[in-house]
Amino acid sequence: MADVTMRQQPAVSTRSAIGVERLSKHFHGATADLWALHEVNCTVQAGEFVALVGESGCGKTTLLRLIAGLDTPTTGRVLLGNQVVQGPRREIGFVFQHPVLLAWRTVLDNVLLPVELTRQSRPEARQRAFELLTLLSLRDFAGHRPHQLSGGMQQRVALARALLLHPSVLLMDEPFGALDAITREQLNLELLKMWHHDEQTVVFITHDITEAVFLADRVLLMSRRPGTIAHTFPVPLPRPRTLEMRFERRFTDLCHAIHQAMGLLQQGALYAD
Amino acid sequence: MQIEPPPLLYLQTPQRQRRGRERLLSLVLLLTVLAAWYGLVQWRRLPPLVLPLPTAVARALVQNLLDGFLWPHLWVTLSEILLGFLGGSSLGIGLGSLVALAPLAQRVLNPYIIASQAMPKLALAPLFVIWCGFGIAPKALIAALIAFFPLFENTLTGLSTVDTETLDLFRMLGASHWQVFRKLLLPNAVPYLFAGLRVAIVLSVVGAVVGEYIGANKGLGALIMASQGMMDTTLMFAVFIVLTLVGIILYQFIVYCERLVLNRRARIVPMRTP
Repeated sequence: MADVTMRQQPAVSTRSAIGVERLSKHFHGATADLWALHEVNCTVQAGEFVALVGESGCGKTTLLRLIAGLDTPTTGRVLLGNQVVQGPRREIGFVFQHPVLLAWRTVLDNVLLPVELTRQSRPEARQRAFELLTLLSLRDFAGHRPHQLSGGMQQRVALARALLLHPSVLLMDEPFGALDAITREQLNLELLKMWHHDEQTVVFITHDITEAVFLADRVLLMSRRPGTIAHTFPVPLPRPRTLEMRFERRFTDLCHAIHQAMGLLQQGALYAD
Repeated sequence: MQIEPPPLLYLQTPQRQRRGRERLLSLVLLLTVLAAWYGLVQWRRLPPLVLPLPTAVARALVQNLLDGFLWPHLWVTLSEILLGFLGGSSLGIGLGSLVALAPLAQRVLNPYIIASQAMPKLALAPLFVIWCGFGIAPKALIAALIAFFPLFENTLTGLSTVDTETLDLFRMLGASHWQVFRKLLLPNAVPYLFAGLRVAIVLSVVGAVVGEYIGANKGLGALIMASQGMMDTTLMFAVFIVLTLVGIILYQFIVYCERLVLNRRARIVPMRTP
């Protein structure tokens, strides 16, 4: 059975680039029709960590869902490696805004869900799941239920689940937005640690500029609706990143620049109205 | 000077002690009601035909249980309840799933399902007697019709109450329709199913007894009709008590199963690293 799915979705190389070409998305709402995205073009290099920032409602999530194949674009296309994305693929790991854990399963069984749905061999996956849980300091909670964990721990479980099948691409939709600042710092460091391990291609949505700069190789700033990529900011900080870097001049300068650009976008939109 | 907070008596009492006290209060309430009943009958000199003494009811109950008079009736009614409950709830779960999962089925079936519920099912009882005679079948049928609806509704709700993010997760993981049903929708619906079963079991008792009122020669409902004919109100009260106990025991059995399943879901599983 596993072979059939593999043939339907040929595996792209372990690391694959994302190409977004003239992507637009139109929604027919109950009250109003709207263009969520308009002619978005961007590329993400294989193994690159890109953060997507923009004010809420600018179409960040829509863009991410199109890349994931969860929605279909109105015009344009998304390329993964050299294939057009036409639907959800297993080589993409997706981390949602909420942990989205199944309440009736243990932490371990939640992490193992992806492999259970592919009907692949189990013992190997179990080993991998325990490795991930250990890396995310959740090993002692493997037998717990989601409701017994804190918000940060739940989101770590979601991260482990997304990483279980060695995805070549990791898409994260404001995964740490609901967490407190200290937990978020901790999870940012852990995310980078996991990323250094496998070097997936990552697209990370956030509305927190500091978080974006801290994590990413490049920060893409989206304009107001209909969303487009308004600016690209390369992050000139060395890796591995440390929490102290956030107080360095070049870090704060970059944050400031992004913040100003965001403000200009808002003003521009105000005048346009 | 230190100000002592007022003692919260309720919170300070150990739980077990508190529960014991609550049980005692329940018992006191029961005894009070029985005493008032006894007092009322004696004071107004009510004839046993109108209201028998609680002591007479207890005596009739024990005697009819001991000499084996009640058991065959109890057995018949119990079979009707259980047959109706099992049949009705299976049908409710089945059709509920079909309607929840197939939008076409929903559009085709929904008006008729609602119509079938809007019509008073007990009104059908005489028809069922014509069709199926005076045996167990027509009563089980009525019980099944009544037990159907809570399970249909709750299955439908339980299977539809899944947030879109979780559905997206399953889509991302390439789950088949069957996997979404088996691993997400169904386990998610379990608490709803149990809530439906709890309502359905109690309604099945009503269905079976009322069915027996229409036409039956055996069963607790038939016995109530017979005692009315014999003007034996004391026996009637004894049967009421048996019926109440049957309802309570069946209900508690469902609650017990529910706890078993839900506790299993909440338990921490000890795990060793491979």
